[in-house]
Amino acid sequence: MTPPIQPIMVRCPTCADEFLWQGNDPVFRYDEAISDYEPIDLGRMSESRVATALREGYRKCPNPSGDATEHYLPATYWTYPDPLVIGLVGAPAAGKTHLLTAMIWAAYQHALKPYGIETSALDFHRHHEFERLYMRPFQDGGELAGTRTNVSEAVDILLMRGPGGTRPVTFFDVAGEDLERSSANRATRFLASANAVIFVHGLEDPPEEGRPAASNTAWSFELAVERLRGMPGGVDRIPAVLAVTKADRKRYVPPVDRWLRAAPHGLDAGLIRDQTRDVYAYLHHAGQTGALRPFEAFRRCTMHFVSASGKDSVAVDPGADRTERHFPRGISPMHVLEPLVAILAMTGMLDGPEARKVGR
Amino acid sequence: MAETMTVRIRDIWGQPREVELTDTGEFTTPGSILEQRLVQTAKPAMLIRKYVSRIAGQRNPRLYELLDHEIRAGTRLGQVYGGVCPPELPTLVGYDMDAEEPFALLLPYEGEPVVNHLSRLQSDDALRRTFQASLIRGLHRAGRAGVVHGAVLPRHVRWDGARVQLVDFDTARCADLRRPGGAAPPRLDVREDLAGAGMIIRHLTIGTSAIGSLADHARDPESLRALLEGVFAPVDQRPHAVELLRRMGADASLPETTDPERDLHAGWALFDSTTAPRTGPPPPPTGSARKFSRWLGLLILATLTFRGGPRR
Repeated sequence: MTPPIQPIMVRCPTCADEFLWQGNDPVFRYDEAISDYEPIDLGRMSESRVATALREGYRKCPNPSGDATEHYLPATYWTYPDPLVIGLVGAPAAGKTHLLTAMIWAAYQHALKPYGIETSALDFHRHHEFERLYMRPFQDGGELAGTRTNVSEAVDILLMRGPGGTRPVTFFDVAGEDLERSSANRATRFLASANAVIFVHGLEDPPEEGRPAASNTAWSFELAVERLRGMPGGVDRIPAVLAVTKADRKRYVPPVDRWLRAAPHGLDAGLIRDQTRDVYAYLHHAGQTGALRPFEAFRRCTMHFVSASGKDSVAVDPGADRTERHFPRGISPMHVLEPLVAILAMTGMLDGPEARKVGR
Repeated sequence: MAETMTVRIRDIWGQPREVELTDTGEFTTPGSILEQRLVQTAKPAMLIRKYVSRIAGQRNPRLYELLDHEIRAGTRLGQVYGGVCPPELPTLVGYDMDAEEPFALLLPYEGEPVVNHLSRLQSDDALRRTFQASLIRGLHRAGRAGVVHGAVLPRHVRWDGARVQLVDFDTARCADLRRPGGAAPPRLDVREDLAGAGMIIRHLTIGTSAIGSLADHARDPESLRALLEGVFAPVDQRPHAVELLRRMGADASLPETTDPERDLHAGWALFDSTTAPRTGPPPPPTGSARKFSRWLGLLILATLTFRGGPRR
């Protein structure tokens, strides 16, 4: 048992339940051999070993409402005030998984350092799995499978230290199909716990023969926006960004070319607004006005052109009757951190007058 | 019989389409760093395929950047000139930058490398004047689209007896259509290319000894010095191509052009009106508010200033 602390009200990012946490609940370790969580007896450990066990350990969420499967969070998760929970919302095959993978990879490569943000893993087991299943294959030029449906666990939980303090940052990748189911489900649950949303809209080509047509962004966005509207604070409480993915398909076309080729810059609310304005004009002209729904609904919202892979995937064997695809010359993500930087500015992780202007 | 392949390309607006290509053989030009082949397609009959092979790309990854430059310049020129570029410039038909061996497809070039015609151009004053005017007109038209070739050398210039065609835009750069903040001048000055063109003109006029001997202007014929006045000065002090055409008494007209961002204006206006209540009065015009025509206007203004200025 860990020493009790003053009880505090916390919220689980997985089940969205709120409860009083006393800090003296059991701590577990993840045992890879049995793929399960095993309790640790902290009472016999020295102070330094307790600190290590807590940093690497887990606590079981009590899930007072009893409506979710057993789930665990990093043992120190609730010791940090104001955790950030970010969800990616978008139609099936919009590019959510690729964007999230490229974004988290870049964050781990210290690409947020120019903004004064340091990133490390908070949930080591989860991060290891994410790296094994997504980041490594993607870095090796593989096209990732789409978001798994009916998955209620976070993709990764990072710890970010920056001008606005130290906060756990949890990412959820919500399958478009989950949002489109009419019954209350985990997608709705996630929306209740999110304090920032990245809407993902892919610049889709007409479908190639044998490949499915892209799904409807407008419907996914509409469902998410309306569900958030129904929650306390809703669209006024939380900031949103629109990430226009697969922008490499228009990398020689204005205004996309301008932003994909832009040199890295520090936080600049004016440039973010310029890009938001260009994305708006582009989607308006393209008739993809459904993708603008978050911008119309949220009080603070920015929009960005990004490319998770920097290029389109191609068939592994064009002559074969298979659909496996890859990036033969590897990936080169473009501007994937900009949506996250805007979120960090709008949620107080980045501080200062420039950050306060972002999305307004 | 050569194999026909169906490939997916993107056009100058990024729209995908499929074309059938049949390789018909090697295509070499003196200035291309990129590999080239001639390919047959239904329409037009023949195209140039510039590409980076897997082996060449592994040896020299910078080749991918060069191909990117070629495509970027080609798309910009095509977008400004409505798909088919003026004869002095190459026309890009499509590209695929994502394939294992990325490529660009161009309409067949005009004429032959000018290096095959140097002695004729050196000896025939009238022909040389036609060549000079066409070369500078090509730069004028590239500059109108904000494209700088970056290496105007004889090996990148073709000549069909009446007109120049400038090719191999693998070192090209494109000016931003708009600039953030609006106040900063464009970092790319289309007058960069004039020195290269001036060197070619000088070489054709006074012979081989001209190459690399810029310091020796004093011995140049008066007419040549008058024509090239200021061309070798620092870039921001050079005349524009249109001024050189005027000095030659040559046609400086431009074909009809299009603003590549014309379709965005309605969306920008709607954004500004939508966000005004959210953010208060709109901020002063930023770079993104500047339209292509204003950017062009600055260029024309600078040109007119030169035209109206004193001549030394």
